[in-house]
Amino acid sequence: MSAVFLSPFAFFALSAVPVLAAIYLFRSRFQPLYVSTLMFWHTSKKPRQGGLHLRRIQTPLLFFIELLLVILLVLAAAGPAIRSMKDTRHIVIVLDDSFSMLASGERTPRETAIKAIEDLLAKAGRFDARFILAGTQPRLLDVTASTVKSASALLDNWRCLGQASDLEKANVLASELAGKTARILVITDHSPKNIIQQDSLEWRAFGRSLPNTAFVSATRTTVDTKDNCMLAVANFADRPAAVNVIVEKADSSQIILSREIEIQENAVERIFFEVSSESPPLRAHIQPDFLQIDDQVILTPEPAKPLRVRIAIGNEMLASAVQKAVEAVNFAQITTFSPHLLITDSAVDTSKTPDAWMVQIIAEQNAVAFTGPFILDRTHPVTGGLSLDGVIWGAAEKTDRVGVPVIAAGNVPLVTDRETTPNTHYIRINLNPAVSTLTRSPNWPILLYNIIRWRQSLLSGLKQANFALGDDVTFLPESSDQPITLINPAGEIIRMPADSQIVSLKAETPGLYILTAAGRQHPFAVNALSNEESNLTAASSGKWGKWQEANLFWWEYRSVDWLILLVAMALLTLHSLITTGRLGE
Amino acid sequence: MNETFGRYLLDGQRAGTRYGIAIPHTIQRGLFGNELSNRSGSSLEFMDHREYVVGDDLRRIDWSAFARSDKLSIKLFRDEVNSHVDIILDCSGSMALENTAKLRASLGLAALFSQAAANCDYTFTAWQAGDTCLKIANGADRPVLWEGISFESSVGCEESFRKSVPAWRRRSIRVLLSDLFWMGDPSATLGILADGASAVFIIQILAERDLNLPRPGNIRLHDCETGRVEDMFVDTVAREQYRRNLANHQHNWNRACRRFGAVIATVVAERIVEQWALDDLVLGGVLKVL
Repeated sequence: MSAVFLSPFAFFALSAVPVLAAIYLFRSRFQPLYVSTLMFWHTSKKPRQGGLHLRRIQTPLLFFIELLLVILLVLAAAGPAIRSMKDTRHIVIVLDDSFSMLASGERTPRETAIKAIEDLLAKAGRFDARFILAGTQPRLLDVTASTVKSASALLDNWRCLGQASDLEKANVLASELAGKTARILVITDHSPKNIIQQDSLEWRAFGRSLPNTAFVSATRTTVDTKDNCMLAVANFADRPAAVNVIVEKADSSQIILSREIEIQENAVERIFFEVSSESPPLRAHIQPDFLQIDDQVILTPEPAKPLRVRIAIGNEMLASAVQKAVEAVNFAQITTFSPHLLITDSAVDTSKTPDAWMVQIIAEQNAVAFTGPFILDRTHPVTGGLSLDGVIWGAAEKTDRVGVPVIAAGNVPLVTDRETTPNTHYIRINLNPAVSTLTRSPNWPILLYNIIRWRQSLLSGLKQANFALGDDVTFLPESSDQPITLINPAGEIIRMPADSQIVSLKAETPGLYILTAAGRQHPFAVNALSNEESNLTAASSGKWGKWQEANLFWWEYRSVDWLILLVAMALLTLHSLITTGRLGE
Repeated sequence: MNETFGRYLLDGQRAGTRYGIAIPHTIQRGLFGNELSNRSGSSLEFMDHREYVVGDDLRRIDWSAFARSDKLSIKLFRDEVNSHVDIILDCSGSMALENTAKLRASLGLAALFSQAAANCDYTFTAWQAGDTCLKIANGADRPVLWEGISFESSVGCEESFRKSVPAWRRRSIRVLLSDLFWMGDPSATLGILADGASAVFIIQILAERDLNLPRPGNIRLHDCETGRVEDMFVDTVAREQYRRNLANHQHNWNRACRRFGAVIATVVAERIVEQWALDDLVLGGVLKVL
């Protein structure tokens, strides 16, 4: 807005206008008066005297002057200020990047918002605008727009393909960027959850409450030679909906399942079915509605990545405990051939299997039982889910210090980790099961599962084959000298650098991807599955914030009340001249 | 006779018992009149010389004095006054302005002057200046016997005198009771009034409403004499203009009266009708207290 009023409450003083009008109306009513003669009331001699004669229009002229005076004084009291054209207005715009912004009624919230942003910037005078995409993680677009055209170009990067939008985190980033003199504009499709406390922040929502049926969850789990599939379909509406779920092969469109289900309002129905583990990627879809991105899901078979584990432990009690824990992990195969992971209680030569990780358990006879407190490095993948309260851990007090302590009892390291070569670790566990309760507690299989899972995650290939929008897709090639290509859902072929040790990309577009390395295809799917984003019933439109209170942004405006007061003074002078009759003379 | 008029006349007559006509100063009886005035006039009693001015009667030039001083001068003789008073009452509508004491004051003063004349053993005749100037029926008798007075005329005294020249007695004292609210040169009226008169008294009777103007605002003015209506926005300027116009009008009359040797006095009706204390007229040399 180019002109604002710093004290708009002063406009209440305009109530004086009807009072003034009433006074004049009252005065306009002619009171009868009988007089002896009219001869002295006549001013017929005046024309011979010359000069201005304003008395005939005195009543309306005075009224209009006084009316104008009242209005001008009220205007001046309201503190009019106009936008300074010399100063640049700094704006940080936070854009909700979640896929709910693509819901289409007549226009999608994204399209409406772009138009509103362009209008806003067009009226903002001189400005510089920065954009933050609020997805699961906020992302700052590194270019600043100072024209509407450049802002429009930047907004093309706003694709609204996020699985979620963490607006709070994005607002924190925006506040840090904005400092004290910038405005923050949040663009989304729903109202703020809390009352906006920040004066410089305006929240604009462009959503519409719409019914929507959507896939909210989909899994494909390999069990032996079969894949168990589950599809969860939600009906986000206030009335039941009949949904026809069709599952077909992604490559041939051969329908393998077609089922019509009735879903109650705001309920979720699940469909379970089995397919062969050799089955190609499956595409499931329902009839299109207001939000189409969540009307389709692709399930690719999870990559089979069994982890070979060799157990070489002489201590029977310990061997038994390790054997049981490893067998409990479904993707672990106990073997003696080319293991990925070696668990032993003695020194073993691993030079022949350089990729193998070694877990060495030191079971000293003179172990001391530690009851805690235990110190755990919670950032390490080995400690996930461990709770050692009440556990007695028997360990030697003095051992060679190898690697970084992961679990310790005081200054006694119980579990240490050392990276011997890139992506190869040596983990040492200081444990005598004879004086410990650890192997009989749930922490033991958890500890071994963590180690096995960690090792498996660093096997070559994809970690998983089904991703949510915005996830990081990582691929470990078997060797770094082979070309890698990626075909995205649009059919574009992207070539990766041949020397990559790890390929990482963002799953930004839903659909089926095919990654090819060393002549072998690794298909994976990206799906838009989100309860929160598919539920459009809470979407709304509106404007929240205090941007209209220009006094909060006083530095952007220049007061012009002095100009109005000058005009008022001139009018007062004219009024005085007329009422005293000097003007006529 | 209107009962109200009768009451007003009676009030004035009673009040008049205290007063007499102050001028002319009585010295001796003359040829035409019964008394001599302090004014210069046409009696045989020499009073003074004065320098000749254009328009003076050439027969009065003192040639002997011219021969002595080489200056034209006029002989002034003491005027001769007839001991009769013509009381002329302005009977225009404005003299009966409603909700004022103007009517009461006018009738009262007419009766008062008749009584004052009687107190001085003068004869008197009451006239009403309506559309024409006519004697009031029984106008030479006591005021309570006066008949036929009506304040409905819409013409000024000048026009009234012109329509039918009143047969005022020669050398009489003429008293005009009026608000003087008509347009025109006062000299014209005074010329008629003073012609053949030994003394002329002009008593201007005003109401408080004529002096104290309404509060500022939109006023619908009704001329009680002509019936004309005029809407006006009365403000400070208009009020000031009114006062200025009235003052100018009075100034014109004062100046004309000086020219014609007439005496003019202004009374405010509301201020005199309760006690009939006419100090202003006494001080002005119109009445004397007996």
